[in-house]
Amino acid sequence: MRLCLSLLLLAGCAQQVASTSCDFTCNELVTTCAYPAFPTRDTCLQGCAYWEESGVNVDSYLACVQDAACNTFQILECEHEFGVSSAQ
Amino acid sequence: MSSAFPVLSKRVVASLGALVTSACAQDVFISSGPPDVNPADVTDCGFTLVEGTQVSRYDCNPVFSKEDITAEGALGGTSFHVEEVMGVPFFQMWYTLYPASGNPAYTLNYAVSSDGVTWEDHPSNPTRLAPHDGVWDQDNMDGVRIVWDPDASQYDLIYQGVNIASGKSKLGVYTSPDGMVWTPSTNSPVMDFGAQLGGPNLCWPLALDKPAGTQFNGYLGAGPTPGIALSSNKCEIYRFVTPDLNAPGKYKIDPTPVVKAGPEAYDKQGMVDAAVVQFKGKFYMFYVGFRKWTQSTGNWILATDANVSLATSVDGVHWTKDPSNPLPIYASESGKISAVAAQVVGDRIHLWVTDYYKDLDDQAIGYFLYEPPAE
Repeated sequence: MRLCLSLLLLAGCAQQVASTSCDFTCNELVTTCAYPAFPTRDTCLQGCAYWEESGVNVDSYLACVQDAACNTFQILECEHEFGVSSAQ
Repeated sequence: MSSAFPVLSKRVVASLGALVTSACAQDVFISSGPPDVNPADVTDCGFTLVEGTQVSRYDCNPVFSKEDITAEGALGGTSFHVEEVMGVPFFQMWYTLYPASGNPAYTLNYAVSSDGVTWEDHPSNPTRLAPHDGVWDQDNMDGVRIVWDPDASQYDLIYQGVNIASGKSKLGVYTSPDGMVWTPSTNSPVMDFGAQLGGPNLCWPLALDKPAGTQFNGYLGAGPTPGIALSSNKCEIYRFVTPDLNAPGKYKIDPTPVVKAGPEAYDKQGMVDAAVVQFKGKFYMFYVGFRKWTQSTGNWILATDANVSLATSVDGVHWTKDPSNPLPIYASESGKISAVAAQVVGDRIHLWVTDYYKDLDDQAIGYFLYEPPAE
């Protein structure tokens, strides 16, 4: 019974989850920059979890986004340098 | 009836469910793939289906006009690109502007948007000014096509440069690390339009793509007879590939058009613009087909009476025109469309159509969504 419960709990969390870095990145994009592209904060977190799953180094991306300071032109170049297309 | 597994009461099941939920309810988010945001959820206005089509029109079109431009001038050609930020689309647009003063003759400008409808001009626009003193592209910069080359980590730009006095137009090539600072390639212009020996006579660039690890591929408008300044001529769609945009000898242009002008009236004379995207294993080409040539300055003629049409293909070479062409998505009057751009995002193809808006008495850009039919 204990084994079954453990497996059940693991199965419930076995998918990729967004990290603390995602939290910070989404704070920057959704709260600080207030980009309308994200209907909710969860949209950003879902995208970030997917990015991590795809091999993106979100810490590096976050540093780039913070340096950009809501300059959209620079943020788009962060994608080229550290985003999902660079990880593939 | 017995079971090898313990049978759990409803209460236990409920408790377990709560336990699983709470175990995952921390500051973490479970990914089930990239988000697919409905554009209507991030824009001020909604979208309305255009009857008889798979196209929805943004209810507050146009999304970009001369009112959005800090500099004065007439809007020319455009090129669009999508970059995903945390799985949602951000949009890039480059556009040419023709100042009323004529000095410079044109400028190239860069803007971005995080919702497809509200555009932010780059504070350092323009990115490029028309040259002076009889240079080959001093009068027009048309057919601008910009792609991100993931292999070279740079933007590539091709365009039709025009010198009206000389009666010539040529294919120019630029590169940029950031979409803002452009450098001409060493061999630019790489070829003359209207003077290709042993092949079709070129009219203008139509579409360009550069997937990772592959050659550049794209489409050019071209005709079978010498000189584009002949009203009897046609500018049909030819496919090309090249490993290097800067190497004139490496462009391989198909000897025959992949989409022919006519016999339908709506594209009887050819195509003046096109955008090609790949979506779920199928190619979609949105093109601006035109019915007639109209005399312009000197020996130059303009493609007029133009509307957006659609063709599809499984290989990018063999195309089938849509039976419902042309798409009834014009703004104020049929026949005034000059450009179309397309980008795939999630389950939709986003379209931007440059058209005449009567209330503005000017060309402006409208936003549309195309949702391919389920197959």
